[in-house]
Amino acid sequence: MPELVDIRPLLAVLASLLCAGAVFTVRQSARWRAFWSLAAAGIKFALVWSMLPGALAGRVYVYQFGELLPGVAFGFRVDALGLFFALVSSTLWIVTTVYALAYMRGSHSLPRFFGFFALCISTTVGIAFAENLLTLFVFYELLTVCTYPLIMHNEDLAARRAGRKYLIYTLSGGGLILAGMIVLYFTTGTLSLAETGILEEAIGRSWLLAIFLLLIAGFGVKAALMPLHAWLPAAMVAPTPVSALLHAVAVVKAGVFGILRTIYNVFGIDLLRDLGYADWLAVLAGTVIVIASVNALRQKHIKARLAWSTISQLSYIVLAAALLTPLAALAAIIHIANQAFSKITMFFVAGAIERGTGKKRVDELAGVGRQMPWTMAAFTVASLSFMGVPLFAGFVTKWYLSLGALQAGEGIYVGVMVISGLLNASYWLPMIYLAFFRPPQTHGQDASPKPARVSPMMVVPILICAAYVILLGAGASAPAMPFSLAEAAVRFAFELKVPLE
Amino acid sequence: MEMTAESASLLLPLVVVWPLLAAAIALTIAATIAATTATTVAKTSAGASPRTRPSRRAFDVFVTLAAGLALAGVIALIPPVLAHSRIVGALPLLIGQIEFVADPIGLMFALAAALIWFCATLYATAWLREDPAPVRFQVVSLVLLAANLGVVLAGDLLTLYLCFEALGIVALLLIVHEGTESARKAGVKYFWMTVCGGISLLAGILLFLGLTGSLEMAGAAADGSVIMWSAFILMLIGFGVKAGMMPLHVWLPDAHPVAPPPASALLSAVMIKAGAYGIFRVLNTALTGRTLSGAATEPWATASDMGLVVLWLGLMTMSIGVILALGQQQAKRLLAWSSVSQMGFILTGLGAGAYLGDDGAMASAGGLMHVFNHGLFKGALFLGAGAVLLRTGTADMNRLGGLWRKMPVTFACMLIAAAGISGIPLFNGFVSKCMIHHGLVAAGEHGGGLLLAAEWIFLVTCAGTFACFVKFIGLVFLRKPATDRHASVRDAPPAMQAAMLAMVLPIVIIGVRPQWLLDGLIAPGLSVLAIPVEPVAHFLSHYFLSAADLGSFAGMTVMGIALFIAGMRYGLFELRAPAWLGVDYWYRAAGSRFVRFCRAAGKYSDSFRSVAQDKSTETIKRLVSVLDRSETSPFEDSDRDFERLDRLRDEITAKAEQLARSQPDDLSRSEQERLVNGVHWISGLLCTHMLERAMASFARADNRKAVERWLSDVEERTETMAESALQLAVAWRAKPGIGDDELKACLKRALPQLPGPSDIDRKTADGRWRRELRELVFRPGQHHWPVTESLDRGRLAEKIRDHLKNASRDLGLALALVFVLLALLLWLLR
Amino acid sequence: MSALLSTPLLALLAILVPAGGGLVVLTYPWKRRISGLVMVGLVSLASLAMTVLIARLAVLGIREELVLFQLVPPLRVALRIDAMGALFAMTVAATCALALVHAVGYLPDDKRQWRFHGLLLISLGSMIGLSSAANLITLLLFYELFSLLAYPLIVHERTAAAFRAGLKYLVYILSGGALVFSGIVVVFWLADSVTFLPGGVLPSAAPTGPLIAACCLLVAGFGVKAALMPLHGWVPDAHPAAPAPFSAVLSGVMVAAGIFAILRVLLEIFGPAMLDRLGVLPWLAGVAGFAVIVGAIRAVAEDDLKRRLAYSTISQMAYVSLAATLLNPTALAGALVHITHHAFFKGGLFFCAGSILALTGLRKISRMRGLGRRMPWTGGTLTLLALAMMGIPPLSGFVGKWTLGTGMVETGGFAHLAVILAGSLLAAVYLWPVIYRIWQQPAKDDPCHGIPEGEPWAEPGWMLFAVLAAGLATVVLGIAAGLPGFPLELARMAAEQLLGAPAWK
Repeated sequence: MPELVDIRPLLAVLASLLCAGAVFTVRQSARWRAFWSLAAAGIKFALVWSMLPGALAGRVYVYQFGELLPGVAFGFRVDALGLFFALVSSTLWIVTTVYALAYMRGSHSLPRFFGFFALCISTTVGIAFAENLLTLFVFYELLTVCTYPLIMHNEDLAARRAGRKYLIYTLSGGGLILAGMIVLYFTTGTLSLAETGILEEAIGRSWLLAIFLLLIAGFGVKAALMPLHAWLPAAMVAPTPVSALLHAVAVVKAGVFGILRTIYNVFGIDLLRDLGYADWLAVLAGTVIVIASVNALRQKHIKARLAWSTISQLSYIVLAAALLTPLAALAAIIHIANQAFSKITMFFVAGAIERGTGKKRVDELAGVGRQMPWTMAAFTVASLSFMGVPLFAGFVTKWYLSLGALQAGEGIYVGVMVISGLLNASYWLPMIYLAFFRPPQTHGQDASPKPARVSPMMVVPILICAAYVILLGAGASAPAMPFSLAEAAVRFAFELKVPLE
Repeated sequence: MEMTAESASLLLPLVVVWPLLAAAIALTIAATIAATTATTVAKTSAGASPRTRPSRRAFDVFVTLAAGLALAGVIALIPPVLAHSRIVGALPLLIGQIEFVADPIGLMFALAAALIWFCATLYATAWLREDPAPVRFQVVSLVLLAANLGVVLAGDLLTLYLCFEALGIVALLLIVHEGTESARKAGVKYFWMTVCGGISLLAGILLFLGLTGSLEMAGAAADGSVIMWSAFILMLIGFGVKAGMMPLHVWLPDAHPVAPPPASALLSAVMIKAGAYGIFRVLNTALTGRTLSGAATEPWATASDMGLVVLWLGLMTMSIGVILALGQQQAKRLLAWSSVSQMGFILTGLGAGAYLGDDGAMASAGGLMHVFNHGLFKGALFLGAGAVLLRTGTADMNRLGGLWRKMPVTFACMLIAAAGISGIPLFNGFVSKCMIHHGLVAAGEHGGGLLLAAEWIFLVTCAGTFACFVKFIGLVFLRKPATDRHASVRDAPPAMQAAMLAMVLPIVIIGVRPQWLLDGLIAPGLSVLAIPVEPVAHFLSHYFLSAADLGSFAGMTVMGIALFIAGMRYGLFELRAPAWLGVDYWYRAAGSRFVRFCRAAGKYSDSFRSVAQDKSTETIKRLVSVLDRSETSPFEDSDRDFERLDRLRDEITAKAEQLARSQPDDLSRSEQERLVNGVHWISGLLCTHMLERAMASFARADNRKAVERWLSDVEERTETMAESALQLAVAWRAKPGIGDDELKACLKRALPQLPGPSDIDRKTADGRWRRELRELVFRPGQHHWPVTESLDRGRLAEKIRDHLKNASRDLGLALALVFVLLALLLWLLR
Repeated sequence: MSALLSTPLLALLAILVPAGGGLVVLTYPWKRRISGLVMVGLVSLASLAMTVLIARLAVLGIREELVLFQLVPPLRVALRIDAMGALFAMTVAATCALALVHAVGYLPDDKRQWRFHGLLLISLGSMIGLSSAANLITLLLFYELFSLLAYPLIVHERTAAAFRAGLKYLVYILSGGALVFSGIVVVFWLADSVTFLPGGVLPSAAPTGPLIAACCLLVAGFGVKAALMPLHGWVPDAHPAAPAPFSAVLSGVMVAAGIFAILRVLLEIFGPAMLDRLGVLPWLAGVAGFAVIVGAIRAVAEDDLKRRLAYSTISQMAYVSLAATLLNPTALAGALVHITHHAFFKGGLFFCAGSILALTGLRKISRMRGLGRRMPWTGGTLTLLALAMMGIPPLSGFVGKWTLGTGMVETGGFAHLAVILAGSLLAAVYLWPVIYRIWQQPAKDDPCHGIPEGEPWAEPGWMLFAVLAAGLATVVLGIAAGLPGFPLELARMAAEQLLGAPAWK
């Protein structure tokens, strides 16, 4: 496919970098902070989306600096998969910024917050556009670092412990990736992600296994692949926008993205099929899906429940990728967007509830539905999506994942889908039930609680995301929806000439 | 005037539907009457009854006319039917359309029905004078008339079934009309028998449909297949229930006596004939090889086997029925049982006819004629019993007697009817019984063996019937009255007399001129069904009132009288059979057992369901808890701390109160209370302070251990807290109003030092970033990212300096990490 | 006309009008009750009228498909009307209209009544959508929609029992939906299409194992809703817990919707030939027969009127699936018409139960002694409807039974026939006590709940209207069933469309 040099990838990365600088410089004035954040978000959004038509047309934009290593340049390369990830994150950055501006109002050390916020996004886009594993790794580690201050923003005991945990986990994960890269570089002499698979059988099983294990484990840390997940629930102490962005968009998705890259671009489908490592990965992911859901069932705190559900949902992607069939791959890629939008809606709602009513626990939710109907409606939409009800985003994933499983001859995973859908129902519906059907525990006084006052700047992003969840589900195949891009990515990864179906 | 086939086929459905219309009109009339009555009552509360009398009479007249009109319609149908032998008319209804066919046999049934109905309605107008719901009775009876005509004029089995079910279900309303408990019980039994019968009839019809592919009552190929036999059996059950055939008769002797006399007359004289009609159709048209067009397409085997079944059932019915009839004391029960027995005669006749096939005309004709006859005399008998009941207030034959002088007309009618039923020559019963007898004899010759005994059973039964009605007439009318309780009894009211006379008149006519009925309707009907009818004519010409028949009659009479005398003398009539001998007992047992079984099943399955539910939820819970490895998330800590503090607060307050109460009681009661209140208030304040400070400092506290330690310290020091609270309270009692600083001081005294952020925090707050990096990378377990609010403090200059420093630090550190790793990588690659 | 009123377009309208109206009723703060009721009435009448119009067009045999939008490339949300769908849609609209009328009298006049009306209207819309779905996905979509919408209606009374029942309902229905989903996936995997086609879409070359798996998954999944016997657990709890008008809808239409879906799957996804090859039908027949008998036996054991009716629904609806297994057009027509008629008489019975409950607070049959003398109209209609359910001619219950029976003997399904007849005998067993009780003399010690003899209670107008309407429908549908334009005609047509052979020559 035609590669043409283009500056836009670089600009897309720089946009938020500059924003970060600007935010740091205008420490105090909230207005300028808001201005810069939104401006940068808008610019990046425009840049990334401007590359969509080209990518759909099969063009690939590249931009390279000098070589870091022989054969390994530091550069960007925008293919369908990367662009998909970038699209999702840059789109969500805007809504999250708007939300965060409202949510964080009156919090301490906002400059730091928004600065690192911007940095995170910039590194995320860097990961998405990375031309080779090394570049990806650099941005990956940067992401780790930039996330840390956000996680312990509250600076209380819990936040610090969480941040510490996060750092330990992710840094060690980075170490594994590094080792994997080294072995890879020794064996193949390249780290490029350009082709579908740079490894071949000849290298020897032991090396291949080592590379596979190192890379998957390394990326698996951020992808919260059990048993490397412990940092994620802990990190829920972060302010809601952070949790939303990180756990729905940037960090975890970076990990998952890494795994996808490993499977599709480092090993390649055919090789993995021969090796059969992916089957084990699939088994692992399948178990994680169920176990994480069961744990989510046990959580008392809304955000903790969300975190566990994130773990489970990420494993959808891993499972889909590990099935090594086109339809499953489609599910894997499209689920990046589906999960992101559904989950971010939920996080926003959780934050809005916390701000509006000060409630953090599930069992306190009674009557919230009548205080903030629109917000809870959005929550309902998101949870229906996770349950995989038709018309909502989650259904698309469930559908293609099941088909992919059948395509791979692994009917058991259809069962996993079904069970997971039921488990999702069993931990989302009680919240909706409490919110809508239970009268609030009023202590004698006012029978009907007055509607909670939440700034529209928080409600509007929620509604937008919810609407988009429906759009992803009902109009997935409409033009200019990420679906087509995902399909293109699959075609590339599997070197299919004909479009799917 | 002669009616064309077309107009007749228009008239036919009209005749069936007319009573329904009449019922509707009657309802409206009744409504208007009620309205006028209400108004008149409103006008003159006194003179209401005489004024309502005429309007009430209007209603009676109308219903009587309606029944009469139906009768007229049926009669008007006779000539065209005889002319065309088959008239077809239809109504568009239900599935497809409802088809009616009138052939002579059906018309004969219809004639009997209409005639008796007319009489019964007329009678009822008198009977219902004191009845609470006369309108309901009359309307229901008109609906029933329609249903009954529908049954006997039905063109196909579906129509037959529809009308049959309607007849069965609606008749329930007549049976329970009196509303007494016995009526209710009889009604329940009747309902169940009818429903079961209806379902088995439906099953039979459906099987027939599956067999022939059509619902026409003609020409199923009579192969002896299982389906055919089961269809036959099912239909036989269905019709047999209504016909009171043994062993399905159990409802009849309960239901007929409890209904009001006109209703019993209708039930006993007409409605049960619907069953006989059905059985006749099944035997002679539906399931024989005969087609309507003519000759037999099949050998007779199956059909005659079926006839044999019916024949034996009939014999059983007639004999057992009469035995039980003899044992009755209640007049109406006696009549009811004799109805069972008489239905046995009819079934025997029909069965023998079917058994003999082409030679069976005599028996069939006898059976059919007996239908007509029994309708007449049994109807008359019930009406008479009703008249007696009306005048004397009892139907117990032991407490009646000598009424022949008091009620001459009734007596005369009863005498004729009894003569008819016990088959005395020149009365109609004689003719039909003779024909059935001849049929049985022929059957005996044809089949031999057991069938030879059939004739004797028949004769004995006739004798029993004779005895039975000797008993009836004798005890009710002739014998010297046991008491003169009935001295002032008058004869029945004119309407009743008219009705009874109208019914006994045909008895005599037919008895003298049977050929009018036989040649008029029955023989043509049989010939329509392609049964050769010469034997009938032969009987009329040769055997009617022949010596042989008279001889057998004489024998029968002697036997009957002997039986009667023996019964009265030796009290044979008081013998009672144990309950378990009757089928009724077993039906009842089966029914109650089934319901009990259902209850038990329900109970068990319910308990099973609940148990299963609990078990499953429990298992799921256990499963979840097994899988649950979520370590206590940071959220939980603060919750637990708060709960602990809360507990502490209560504890402290309690202790303080305890102390306050245990004060040396130099102070008065009120003082004490005041002190306690003060203690409450103050300890509350204290604890609130404690809570606020504790939570605030926990939030900033570095390590959990300190927090835990502090909490446990406080737990130990609740005593001192309480004491200080008490001191404060005492002070406060002396000098109301208490300052915040006092509280704080007290707290400082009472509480241990709260854990705050550790020193390392304060140092790193403005420490140098290299050291921090070292700390961070090499001892990540102890430190946190060093960014503090101090950044936001101070003037512009140091702001700029600070933020440059911070920015560089933040970015620099990030890059540094990367470079470290890259360096490592390069070194490895060299 | 067909251009202007293409049936699917009408169907879309018939979905959107009640749904939109329901939303309005739900959200608009009604000041005066009457205005809200007028709104509800207009909407329900409009949808009823539209369904009737659809039915007429379906009789004309117009069958076109309207694609609303594409879910994911192969899967479209599309509407299509055939006779079966039209018949079901009409039934749904009529039943819901009656239920709404009854609810006006049954529910207290407060804010929450609008919630009930609104949600009921919305689920009416989605059920019409179900009946006009052109493929399995669309069907699943609407199915899940009204299944979830039913929950707030079931727990509307907010008693603890209601919440327990609602939870049970949700667990059952969601599991069913999950099974259905996996079944659909397998079907799509085998056939590359989930569009309904008379005769089936599955390629005959497909492997047997997955086919049987798909069949079992789909039938079991929808069977939960259709209350097939082992999967019926939610029915006897949800019906008594829900407010009476909704129990009527639940039992008259929603359970039937499950059966409807099963019919679609069996006849238009698998197709008769395939089913014969797989040999699954005898098993299904066995299950259905079991349900007929055991459901009725359980009904006999219940003393709570609504529970008894709920069990009888299990038994009656199993008739339909039993008949469907014969693949005989007459039996199928009978089954379809039985669905419609059952909706009316069962709905009416629940209305009666509701009126009794509302007036006297009586649930237990054993305590209803002499009630008919106090509520003559309700009691009379109750008796009539009970007789209809026993299948006494000429009431509507008989039509279904007769047609079923005819079809069964046509194909020699004598065992099926026996089961059906036993079922109706048992129906008499569990309904007769009700009739007997309410017409019994009131007990001496309990003079009919303190009301003096011979003074009928004022039976409230709205509820009574619904009750009488149901009774009237039962009589008319029975007597005039054969006339053109009555359900039987549509049912015949549907059977012919689905099985390709005319019903009863």
